[in-house]
Amino acid sequence: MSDEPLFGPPSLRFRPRSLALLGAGGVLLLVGVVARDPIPLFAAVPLLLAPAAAALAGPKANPKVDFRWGETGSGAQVSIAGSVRPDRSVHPGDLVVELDRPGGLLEQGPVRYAVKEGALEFTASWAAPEPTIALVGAPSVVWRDPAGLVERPVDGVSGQLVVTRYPPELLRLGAVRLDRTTVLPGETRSRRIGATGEFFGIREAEPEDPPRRLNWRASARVGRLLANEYALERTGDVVLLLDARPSELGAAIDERLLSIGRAAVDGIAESFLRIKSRVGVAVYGEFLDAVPLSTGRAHAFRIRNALLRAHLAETPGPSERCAVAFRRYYPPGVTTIVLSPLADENGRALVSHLRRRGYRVVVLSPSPLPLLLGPRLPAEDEELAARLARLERRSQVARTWRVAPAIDWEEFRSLGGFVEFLKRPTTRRIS
Amino acid sequence: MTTKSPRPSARRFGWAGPALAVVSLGWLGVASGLPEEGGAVLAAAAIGIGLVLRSAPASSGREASWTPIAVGLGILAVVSPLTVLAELVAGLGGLAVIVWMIDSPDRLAGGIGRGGLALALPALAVGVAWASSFLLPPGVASVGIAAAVLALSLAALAFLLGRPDLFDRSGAATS
Repeated sequence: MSDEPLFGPPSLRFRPRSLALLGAGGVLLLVGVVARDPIPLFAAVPLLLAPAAAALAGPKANPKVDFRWGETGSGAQVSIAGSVRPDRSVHPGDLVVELDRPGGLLEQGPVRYAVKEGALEFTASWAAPEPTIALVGAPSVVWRDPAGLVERPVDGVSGQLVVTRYPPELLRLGAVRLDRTTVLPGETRSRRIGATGEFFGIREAEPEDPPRRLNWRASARVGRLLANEYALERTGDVVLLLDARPSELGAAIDERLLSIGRAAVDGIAESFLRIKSRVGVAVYGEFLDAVPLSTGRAHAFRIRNALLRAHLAETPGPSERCAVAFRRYYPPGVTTIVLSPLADENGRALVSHLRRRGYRVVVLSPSPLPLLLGPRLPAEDEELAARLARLERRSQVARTWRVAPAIDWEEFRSLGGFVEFLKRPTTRRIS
Repeated sequence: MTTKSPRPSARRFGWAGPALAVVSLGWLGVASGLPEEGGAVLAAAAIGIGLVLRSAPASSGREASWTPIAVGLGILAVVSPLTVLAELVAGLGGLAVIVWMIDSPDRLAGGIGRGGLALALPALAVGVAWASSFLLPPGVASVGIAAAVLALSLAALAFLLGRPDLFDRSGAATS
């Protein structure tokens, strides 16, 4: 049975269960009258009266609630916890909270509910098996009578949560030297404080600081953990291009690869923005959706919004269109990281067109193999198929290498290989 | 692409509804006088199907678990011989359907306490109807109850359709 309300005024809504109950009561009433038998009439009385009684016993206006929620957890664990505290007109146990789980997150167990100190508390345990950036919309909260016959929406529930999970190695992206794109007269270098460069000072250690960054001697002297800070003067530009075109892999795999790419773009952009580099982000499906080069905290929000609205295109746009549109937003010569699964010729064509227009392209290619093969040990025949798939994948990446450096990203929890490449670009010749 | 999180699965079973259904349907089944214990079998089948649906993993199954009870109640109410006690037990059966819904495993515990008023009104109606049936002479009571229930239902329906503000005091979105 659907949960959609069937009829009633905009606020109070009778659920389909009410109509079913009235129908059952009506049939009993009819049978009783036709058969002149009062026993069905007695059975019908509660069924006929229950919906009206439930409505009369409920609140006379939409209840107001104090709604609070947040996201916790680390790594693959995502925990959404919150509380709904209603006004005195309703009991918190009669509130029904329904969370919409975004596609990139998996459910680990049912949502837990508990009534504590006049509030309904809920906890959802989800898992992010792959890097992801997901938007969790405000839950649907309604008052529903204990029998589930009528319901009312509540006032005061709003907001969204952004869940981001991307590889921890992104913190080390600060060591990457970006090439200048435009040499302007009087250009000044921006100084950044971060993990690399010359020693700058000491600050309180943060949980994400790696052990080698801690200043153990200073920590021993003062009795609390302190970390070193380093200063590096730099100015650089980077553009991240996310290929959101459908491929031969099918919509389901394409969606997951796009989700992984979206998370990687968000993480890489945030890492470069942290060191005050200018970052541009473009998503190409059928047409180019570009966020121009800029820096700052507001720009990080612009990028995140662009990524959250990115979706898989229904029709793949031609690669040349992307390259032509790309020139309108970004100057040639800028370091361009293309995130494409390289599942077909479209990905390579895109890289080729960008190279021809003067962009320094590096391809980070989320591999579809972990999604296609799965984590389980395959059977003997499937093992052969897996080996063939790996050979084919290696060939695809190698063909891309003829045009631009391409990093095969198969271990989604780590971007170590990509970071290492950016820090020390290979001497391999690119024709 | 989004998927809805399910309601908590089987936090508790909620035995009040099933217990009341066993008492009322069981009594009607035994008293129905159907050949080869047909009434008892029918009652057991209705309750059994209801319990299976009630413990189903799918929420749609749990949502519809009261329907076998209502169907079983209807059939047994029709075939049961007319006695004063049968009338009372049939009313109790109707209340059992409501309690079955209130004490659902999909809802947090304590539903019967919170839904006391919603349960009390139908219970009061059953009590008044049964008392009048018990006190009035036979024949008159049946017609009286039928006419009263029918008139009350029609009046309530007409009244509710014309006065939605009775339930809802929120201002209209366009006002």
